[in-house]
Amino acid sequence: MIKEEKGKIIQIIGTVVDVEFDQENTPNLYEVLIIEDKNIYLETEMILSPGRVRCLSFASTDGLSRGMKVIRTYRKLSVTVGENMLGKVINVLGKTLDTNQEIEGEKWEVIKNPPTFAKQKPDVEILETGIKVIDLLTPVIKGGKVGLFGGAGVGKTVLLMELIHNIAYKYQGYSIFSGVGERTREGNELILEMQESGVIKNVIMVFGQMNEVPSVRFRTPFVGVTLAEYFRDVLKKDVLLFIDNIFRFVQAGSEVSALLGRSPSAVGYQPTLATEMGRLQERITSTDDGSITSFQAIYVPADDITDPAPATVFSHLDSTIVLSREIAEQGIYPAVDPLQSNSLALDPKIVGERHYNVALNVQKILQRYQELKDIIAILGIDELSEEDKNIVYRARKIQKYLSQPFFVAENYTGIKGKYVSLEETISEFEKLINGEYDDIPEENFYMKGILNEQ
Amino acid sequence: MAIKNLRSLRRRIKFLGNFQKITHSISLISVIRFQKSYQRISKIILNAFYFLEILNNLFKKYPNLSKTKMFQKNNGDKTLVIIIASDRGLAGSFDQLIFKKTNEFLNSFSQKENLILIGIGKKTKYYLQKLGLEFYLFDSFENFLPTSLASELLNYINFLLKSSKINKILIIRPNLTSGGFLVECLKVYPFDFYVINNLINKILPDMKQWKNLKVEEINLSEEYIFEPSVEEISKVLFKNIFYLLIYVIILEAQASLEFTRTITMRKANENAKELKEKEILNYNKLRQQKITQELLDIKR
Repeated sequence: MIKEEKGKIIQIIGTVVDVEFDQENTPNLYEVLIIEDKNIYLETEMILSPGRVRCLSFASTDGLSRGMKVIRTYRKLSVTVGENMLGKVINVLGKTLDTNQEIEGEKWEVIKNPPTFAKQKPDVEILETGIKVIDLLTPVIKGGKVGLFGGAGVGKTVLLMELIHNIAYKYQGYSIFSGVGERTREGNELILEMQESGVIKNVIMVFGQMNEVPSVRFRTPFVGVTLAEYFRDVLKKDVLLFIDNIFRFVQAGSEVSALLGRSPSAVGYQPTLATEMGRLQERITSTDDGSITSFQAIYVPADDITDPAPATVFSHLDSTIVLSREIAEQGIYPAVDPLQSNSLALDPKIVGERHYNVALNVQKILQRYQELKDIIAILGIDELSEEDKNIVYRARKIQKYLSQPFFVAENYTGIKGKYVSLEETISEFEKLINGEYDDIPEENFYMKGILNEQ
Repeated sequence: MAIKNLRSLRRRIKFLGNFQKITHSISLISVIRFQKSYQRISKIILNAFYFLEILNNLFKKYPNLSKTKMFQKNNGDKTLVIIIASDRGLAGSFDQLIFKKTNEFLNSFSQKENLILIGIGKKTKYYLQKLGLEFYLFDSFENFLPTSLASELLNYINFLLKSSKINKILIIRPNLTSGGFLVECLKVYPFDFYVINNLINKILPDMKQWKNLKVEEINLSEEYIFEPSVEEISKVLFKNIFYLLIYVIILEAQASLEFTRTITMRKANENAKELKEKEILNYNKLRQQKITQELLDIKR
């Protein structure tokens, strides 16, 4: 039963609201408070003095005034979990976006501790995505974290959508999509796409897009993780969690931090950047019950990968998929940079000798091509030795062959999407590096699933 | 995504600067080699002119000599093709054009078993090996085909002519003009006065200093006694002209190669310069960005 002890607003600065209660009735940290007349949710972030708390509002504070009554809820931000949430699109408060109603069911608190060390499962198993470049060069670990790095407009969201599509198609598993701080239009497109492909019945979507206040954007990934945790811990399932875009979570954290009056740290980010990231990322893990495999799109400000935000995310990831503008400019989609992307799973003990050798040779050829690019730019391709010329021709074919038509991009490309199994991917690239495709012209490799498909 | 830092950019700018210096030096060396080569060619050509002048005088003095058959004509069914490519690197575009012409020739030649191929320069080795053809190779020389290898080559041609195996000799060579060069398939055998005239015209490029090449007047006095006979002597002279001209064609092709190398190096130098300028711009942008960043951090 919820006790109601009223407090009152004493200060409003932006989305930061200070509330005063009786000294004996100080709210707990992260407790949700509700502004009585407006039905606006607040979250306690700081206890200023006994009875006085600093809160963040989950909605715009326009129209609020000092003296308004605030009610305690004695609980942290919670969300309804369970299978009845599947197919729903909700906001950070757990309300559906279309009806603005909460769904009945078991509620879990959004802020909690990660699984204990003993509970975590260290086993490594590969998750097939059906996307050639990812399966070959940056294999995804079931229960692992994959980061999609890329500047604006290089195809992060499309790649995420394709992953959702392919994994639902192959594994029929549950997915949770957390849209953080991205365009509302993109979220809308995603919903329509999911409805069209019939994937939506296996997906829960949480949105806190860029029009929302920072506290909403800051808590949205936590809601997504909580939903995923229920499936993992209670239903003992392997779940996929997509976060688009984790950088916006950092950005929201930075706004929140500034609003709360903390001094900024390097490049203006919050001093608690690593802690906040750790609290979120450590919850995304595999336990004995099940696994959460997460794909996180990471916007890289000014294409600088050493920026504190992407750099902090790096240390949590098992695989990094770097999307390159240079490759996107060549019209190669997905614009994955095969040399900068990597995965801990690309190890002969995990993926097997054959896969490892093929991937290594592909990378070697591309690396050599990269080195030769300068010589080609200065002296011209004619000056290369026969051996190097072969490498250049093969590398160009590899680059083209790493492109793939996507199901979710059929409307844009006009080419039917292709799912390529891991076995097919390995054997095709094995043939290419062994010179079996040397006589086939380069353009035949562009936007193909496999070369000799019907 | 470009992860560039100041240090790597600095290193790259330095590399491009060094590259520019190297290409500039190679280009200068190539110019000198080109000039030396033509000095050498002019000396050999003067010898050929000398022989031709003697022949000319003999023809004037002994009008019946023109009815003599100067050079043996074979009825064999083989064709000898001499392909001249580079022996060292940095002449890729030259080799490409030569091989392109060779490809055209080989595609038009249906009876491959009647071909005898001679490759001059290491690059012909890789090319002909790739095609799976048999060939004789003259390679690993410094800059120009030395006289030792040349005499070996000419002896081999002599042997083929004597054994009556070949009825045609073709040389795939660059035809250097003041505007660049075109690759052509030049017929040097069967050898007659018409071919000599054609070859000399082709060998001497359209340049002032080569046009003025002149031989001194030779007057054969009445006192000369021709042993064993005038016919025999004129045949030997004719044969020597043939071999001299073949050698000159080879040397001239190698001079063209140096010419191409000069152009390639100049272009490379320009490209390196452009790249360097671009990188310097990137470097300065990055440097300024870092300074601004630091100032902003201090301000905070």
